[in-house]
Amino acid sequence: MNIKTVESEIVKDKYYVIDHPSGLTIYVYPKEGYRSSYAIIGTKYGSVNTRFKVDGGEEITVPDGIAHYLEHKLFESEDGDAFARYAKTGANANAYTSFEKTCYLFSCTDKFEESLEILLDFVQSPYFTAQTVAKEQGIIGQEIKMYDDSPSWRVMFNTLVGMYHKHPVRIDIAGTVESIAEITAEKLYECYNSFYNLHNMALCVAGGVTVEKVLSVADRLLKPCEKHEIENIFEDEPYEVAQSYVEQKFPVTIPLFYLGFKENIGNSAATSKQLAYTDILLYILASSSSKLYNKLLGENLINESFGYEYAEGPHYAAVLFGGESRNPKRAANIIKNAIREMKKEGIDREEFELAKRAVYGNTISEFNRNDNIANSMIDMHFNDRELFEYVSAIANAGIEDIEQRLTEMIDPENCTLSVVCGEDVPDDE
Amino acid sequence: MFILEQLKRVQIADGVYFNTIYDDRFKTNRIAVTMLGELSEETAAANAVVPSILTRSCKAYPTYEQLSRKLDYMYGTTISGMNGQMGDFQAMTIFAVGIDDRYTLDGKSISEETADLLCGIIFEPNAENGEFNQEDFSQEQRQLLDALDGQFNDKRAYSMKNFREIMFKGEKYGINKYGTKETVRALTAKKAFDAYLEMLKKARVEIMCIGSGNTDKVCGMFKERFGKIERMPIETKTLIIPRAEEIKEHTDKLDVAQSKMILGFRADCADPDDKVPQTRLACAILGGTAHSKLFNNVREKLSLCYYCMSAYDAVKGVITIESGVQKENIEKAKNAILNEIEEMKKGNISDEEIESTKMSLVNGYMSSVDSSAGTQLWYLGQMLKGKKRTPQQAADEINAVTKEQVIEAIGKITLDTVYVLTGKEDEE
Repeated sequence: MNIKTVESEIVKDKYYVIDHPSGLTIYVYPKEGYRSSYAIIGTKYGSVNTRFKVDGGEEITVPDGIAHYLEHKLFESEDGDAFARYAKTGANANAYTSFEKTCYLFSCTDKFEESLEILLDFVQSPYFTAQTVAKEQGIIGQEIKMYDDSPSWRVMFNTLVGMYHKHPVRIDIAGTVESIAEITAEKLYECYNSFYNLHNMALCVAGGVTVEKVLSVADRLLKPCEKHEIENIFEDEPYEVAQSYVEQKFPVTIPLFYLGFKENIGNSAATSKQLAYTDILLYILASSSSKLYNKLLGENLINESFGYEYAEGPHYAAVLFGGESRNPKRAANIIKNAIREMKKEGIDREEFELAKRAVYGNTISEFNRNDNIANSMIDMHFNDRELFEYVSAIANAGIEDIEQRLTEMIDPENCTLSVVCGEDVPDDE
Repeated sequence: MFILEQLKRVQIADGVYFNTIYDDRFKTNRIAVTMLGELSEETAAANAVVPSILTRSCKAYPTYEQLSRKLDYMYGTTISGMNGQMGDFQAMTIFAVGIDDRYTLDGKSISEETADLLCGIIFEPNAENGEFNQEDFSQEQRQLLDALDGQFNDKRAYSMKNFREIMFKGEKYGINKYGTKETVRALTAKKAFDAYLEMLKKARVEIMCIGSGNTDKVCGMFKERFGKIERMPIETKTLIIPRAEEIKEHTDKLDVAQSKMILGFRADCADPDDKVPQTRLACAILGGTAHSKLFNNVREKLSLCYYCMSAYDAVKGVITIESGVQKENIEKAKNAILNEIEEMKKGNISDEEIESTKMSLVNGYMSSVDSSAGTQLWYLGQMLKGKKRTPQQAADEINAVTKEQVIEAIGKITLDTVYVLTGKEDEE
């Protein structure tokens, strides 16, 4: 078994990467003196993986929302659900499905090995019957409704719908009441057998743990499996956004907006360095010390709900800005102008230095928490990135790196404005 | 000096305490100043706007942009203000978090500068002639009005706000800590500043320092500043109503796809009662975990709610049960929830349920001190109670609770308010 140590002089920590014979990649990040531990296992399988081929076979298409449905059902086994089993160890457990991955996690202070045993056991023990599948329709239907009622969720999703012509990121993670009605036990098994292969998964643990502790459970529980080649199929997506403006009426008192810039990334995710430079770049552009932020605030166009992020997944990436605004169209134009200006004028050296220090400090602070560490590790793993390389890219970034990154991204002419409002919003003259 | 495991506590002025929790596991240092003042209709709005005004600028960095740049330079140190509530009191917290000196890129120390900047924010605000800077004030007044409107956008928060107004009508606890749109609009830069001076004078103050930096100098800085203020600290005692006299029912209609129902109970048990751990355990068995009675039976077995959970506020002695339900199931869900309580009163609680809930609570206590924010909140909570406990001591108390005590605790709760937020249409 190959155990690699990854160390960082900057973070002053180390972690271990284990290529387990079963096919699973395991990360262990010990945090000395911590009482609690956090473990997360995930598969590189999310809501966007609805069309695929396994080992070069026939193309398979499955209903929207099935990855999320599968997550709910995997908690159940023949003899009760995983929550009931965790109840005996005191662990706090959860799971989630995003566009690109499905993860199962727990945190605990006691009985770590017992909880890890439960985690590794239930993700390897699917149990779906017509009856148990039918039972979930109601609960997930309620969950979909709850999201329908959430203006902040709607405004974000409408942005994706506006940006993408064909990419499945435009479809709700949980699917629709209609699409989930097509889910059967057979289809769940088909997805499970394709994607819940240990070669397609990773386990990340952080906290008061050791490699020995983790392996003592992993060696016993992990069932070696054959590697399958999975080919995910995505239709060609045009460069341009599908719609530049999307609006939904909703009972809200202040309109919400999202402005999404569609990135042209091809098939590959950003590297550790690219991600680090993106984070510094966006900080310079839109953090609370930026000219843009202060202009928007000065004109009363945003409030403290304003934020921005770089979102990416298989075959898509976007830069998103959003928040509450009484005049979203004007706010959007100011953001677009700030990007145009930055592209033309280049980056100010002082602003760069400040942003680099701030992003660096914020990143170091993230290493205080087990959950942040393990979540970052699994995210980095699925995108072929490495956590400490990311930190060191921030610490060693030069202004030319950020300027180079700026030429690669955020096309101010290729974006979608999404607005959720109670009444019509004013036009920007 | 009072010492609790790794906590050192000294009084530095009348009603002002400085607490140090040395912990070198963290890569950051955190200093948080919590001021506990009166919660009243008159001052809620002012006290809500003050933390944001204070953390926007100060004498040394008089604009938001200047202060933000200074904080960027200090490796993204955060200085932030929060408007919270503890029992019948408004809790204003101003805090600073920055990386420890071990991690700076150029090897220079920033910890002392951080403490100094925080003192500047609190004691030398950007104010002149007895009022806050007008631009800072107007900006934050507008944002507070937006936040009040924002409460309406989040339907869960909105139903909780309405519920509280109904259940705690006439009690300080029910006063909206953000004030109302009317009281926020009526504020001025002067009124806000006056309210802040009052807070500095009368609040009970707890300063918590968590990290590995030397805090002697920091303590000295705060001692000197508070020493210049003529202090008249208030008593911080919350009004407890042990039992509900009659059930208040209220329904609001709104264009929502999923209805919300909140049930409020008086628990007949509040701090500093020794029986608080018993009520806490009872409430958690009912609906505080992912294996609770409400989760297993009402959500999973009956599929009646998307979420259904209970929470206990021991400061006020109140239990709330929140749920998200389909409109046609409201009555069924309510009966199912009340039925679970009746079953508990009859002693229908398994040893397994008791053991697993104990473990889950203990897990929460023990892990809370693995983060610097969690450590701050834990010890702040302890300092404001009569009894001061470490997480381990709190865990021991929970573990000592018997089944009979759980039955007794649940037997004492009385239903006070049923609040429903439901769709206008008859369709789903």
